[in-house]
Amino acid sequence: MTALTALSALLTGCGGGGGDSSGASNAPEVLNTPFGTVQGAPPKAEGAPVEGDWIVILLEAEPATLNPSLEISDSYTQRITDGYGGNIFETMLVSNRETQAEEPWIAERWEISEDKLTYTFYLRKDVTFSDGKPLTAQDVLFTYESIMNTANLTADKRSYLVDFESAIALDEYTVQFKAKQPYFLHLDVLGSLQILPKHIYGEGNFNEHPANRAPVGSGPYRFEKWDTGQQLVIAKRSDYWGPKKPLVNQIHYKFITDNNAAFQLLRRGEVDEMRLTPEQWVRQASQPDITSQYQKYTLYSPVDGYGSSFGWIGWNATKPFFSDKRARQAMTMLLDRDTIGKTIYHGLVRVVTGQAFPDSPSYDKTIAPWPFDPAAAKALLDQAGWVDSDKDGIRDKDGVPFKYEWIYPSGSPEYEQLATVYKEELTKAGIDVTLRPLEWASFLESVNKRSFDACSMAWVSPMKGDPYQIWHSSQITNGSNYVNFANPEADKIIEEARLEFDDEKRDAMYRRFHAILHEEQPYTFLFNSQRKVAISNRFQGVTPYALGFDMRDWWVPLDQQRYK
Amino acid sequence: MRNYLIRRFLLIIPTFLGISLITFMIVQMAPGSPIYMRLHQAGGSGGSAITQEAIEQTKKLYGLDKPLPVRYVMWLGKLATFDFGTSYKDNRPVLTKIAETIPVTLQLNLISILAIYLIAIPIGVYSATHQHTRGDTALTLGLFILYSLPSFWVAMLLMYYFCGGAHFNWFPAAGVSSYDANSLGAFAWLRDRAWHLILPVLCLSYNGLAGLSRYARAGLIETIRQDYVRTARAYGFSERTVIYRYALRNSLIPIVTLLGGLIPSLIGGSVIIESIFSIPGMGRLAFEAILSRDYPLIMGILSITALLTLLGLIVSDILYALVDPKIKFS
Repeated sequence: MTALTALSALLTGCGGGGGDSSGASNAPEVLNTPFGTVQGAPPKAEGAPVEGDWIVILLEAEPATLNPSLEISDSYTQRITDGYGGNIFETMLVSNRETQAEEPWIAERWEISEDKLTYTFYLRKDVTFSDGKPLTAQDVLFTYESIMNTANLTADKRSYLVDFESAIALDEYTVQFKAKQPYFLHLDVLGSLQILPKHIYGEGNFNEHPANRAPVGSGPYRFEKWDTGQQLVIAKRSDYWGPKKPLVNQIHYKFITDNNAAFQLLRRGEVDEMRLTPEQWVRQASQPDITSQYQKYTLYSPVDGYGSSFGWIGWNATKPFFSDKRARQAMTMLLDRDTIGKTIYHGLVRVVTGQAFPDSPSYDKTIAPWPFDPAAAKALLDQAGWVDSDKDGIRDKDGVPFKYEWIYPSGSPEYEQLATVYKEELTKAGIDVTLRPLEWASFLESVNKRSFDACSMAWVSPMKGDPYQIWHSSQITNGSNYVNFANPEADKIIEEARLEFDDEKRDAMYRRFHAILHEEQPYTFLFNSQRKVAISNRFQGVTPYALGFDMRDWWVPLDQQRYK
Repeated sequence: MRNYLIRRFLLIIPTFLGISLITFMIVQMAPGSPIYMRLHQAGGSGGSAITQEAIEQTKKLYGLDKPLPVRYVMWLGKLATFDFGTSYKDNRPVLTKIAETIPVTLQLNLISILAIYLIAIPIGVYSATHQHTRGDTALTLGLFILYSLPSFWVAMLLMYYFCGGAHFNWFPAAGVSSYDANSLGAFAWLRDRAWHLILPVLCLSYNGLAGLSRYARAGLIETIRQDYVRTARAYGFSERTVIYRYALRNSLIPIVTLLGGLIPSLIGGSVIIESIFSIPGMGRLAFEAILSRDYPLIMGILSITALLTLLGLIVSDILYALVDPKIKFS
């Protein structure tokens, strides 16, 4: 959806196994596509696409629910229910994979009033749920109302809809929403609601409804079974209404929480799609047992919050060390991001300089990252008044030594390495940093209570996002502006951009905002990681788009089909 | 005997209350809040755009707006009707989630305990009867090495070398049964299950094996030195009879009592092994519950583990009386 989201550690650990590195020598040729790279693409199969076979997808965790309206729904819920254009549930509008423009889906057309307050959607009349009942305006209303109902655990979804004052059905297939104030994301928010059938979810306790684990939706796949702790299966509907029908008969999601076990399954060819860690990508995945069975893809696409996240170190501006922007700039110039990206992250990342997704028009590509320049950093610190006046090797100002604590989520080997490298550089510059890795729950508490000097997290930036929650000064007390960033010009841009419906004008405003962030350095921005995926090479038609893959393209030639 | 048992069983109640009070307070006062966890779903859609109002609403729905003592009393009140509440993670009843996972964990641990005892005692007897021989020294060294290997490391090595990929494709790398297990016949199902459990059971038992066989050895050596053993020898019984009929039974008494203490440590140990082998057991459930501050689920699992431990202690006391006729309960 449209918000920025917290990620825990960027990457999960990958220790253990190891493996010989000799396989790296016969590196397969790399194919560049507009939206990513492919290694080891299969020979093009003869003939037209055919139906059949299954896709076995490995998930690193089990979803909590299959009800996307509940706040307990997570990225795994989204991957299963939403997939691409909807696996189980569908939305009124979809984003075009390539152009990213809003296109009709369940709504065949829509109208926005002149004052940008009234949104009318005209629904298709041929959409049915997997139990055969038609999808009508009542189902759209029900989806909206169940999210707005405060007895339901839907608080995080509700916060996107609080600007709406009413929703009514004009007739059986027309629904109209009225907003209290205009906002450029209203259409996206409404258009991306996953429509739940009223006749199923309307009765009983919404939070604990049995259908939350056995959903009924209008998408191309119907729910088949969920073996708790093991796997979840969805199967193709024969009566699906949509214009583009999937060719693969079933999708099996296997929950394998241990990274090493997951990789063993990949080696044995028991899974068809899996995300890889940088370590696996570089060392293990180039061995012949993988390259003979899989194609490897890298993408930066902002899909399901994986490829588009970026890490950062936030400087708490209420602390004496970080109240001056020169000190914050110095902190950034003491971090050798290029070298760290090449070594610790194996070159599978890019340095970012602002909050927007780097491939989106809101991101100013002309802004160069602050260089790694310890001499300039020291000069800036001197200018800001941080000098070592008592000759103890640590800079100080007004009797306060430059000694701070840096908290970050534990469990990510990459962060640990980055922190160690950084600390060495800081010590040389006369700054004393204490590294404090915290377990995720404790970390979140410290961040939310603003009890930190510096903290590290990752945000997910969508193609079209609103920086309000993280950067507006009104969010310092209760929102996600943890570092106390307050800048009058930035506030003004953020407020005005919310009312700007012209994409180009708004993007220009956000690029100006990007420049302010770069100058002020409330964060030291780190990296945007590529999404690294291995996909079984029996699949044809696998194409990376700006918004990721579309599994409805995928098919397997008859002689290579593995499952019946 | 009967009165003793009744008293022991009644004593469970205050002990359990004490345990639950302390764990409830520790769990809920630990840093981190399930609300923040919920609203910052890792990689989810929409986490941070959350208002203070939403936080308050969610707190209220979970009853977390009430003071701690009130929450404890409410929890106890529900417990009286055997209601552990619903999990914060997926809104499902805690008891359902535990009932789903506990059979797997019990299976894993009972097989491990059985394996430990069946192998450790013969090893102990061999070592004791062949004290200071080369065989004894080799066994001692071997067991010492086994005892010092961390089980998560052994698990990963075993998985790397015996679960396919570059090496031997002998065992499955994940789960307790194949995905199509439900369609198998009883015998095939059993074989499938055993095939899946071999590596996890191995990892869970080698450590306890090393410890227990040392206890068995020491116990037997001490017993052999007793007067009545010498007397038995003097009567001219064969060495076999002396060891197996007289000495062994007496030397087993301390080992039996160790059983009660093994139960909690095995459940604790299976947390790691279950996570590594992706086994949907209670250990992994507990681990995930603690990480996500899922209070009702943590309390449910801790209560049941506490009850199992208390019962284990009673069982080992009863066994004590069975193997040692000298002991009488009164």
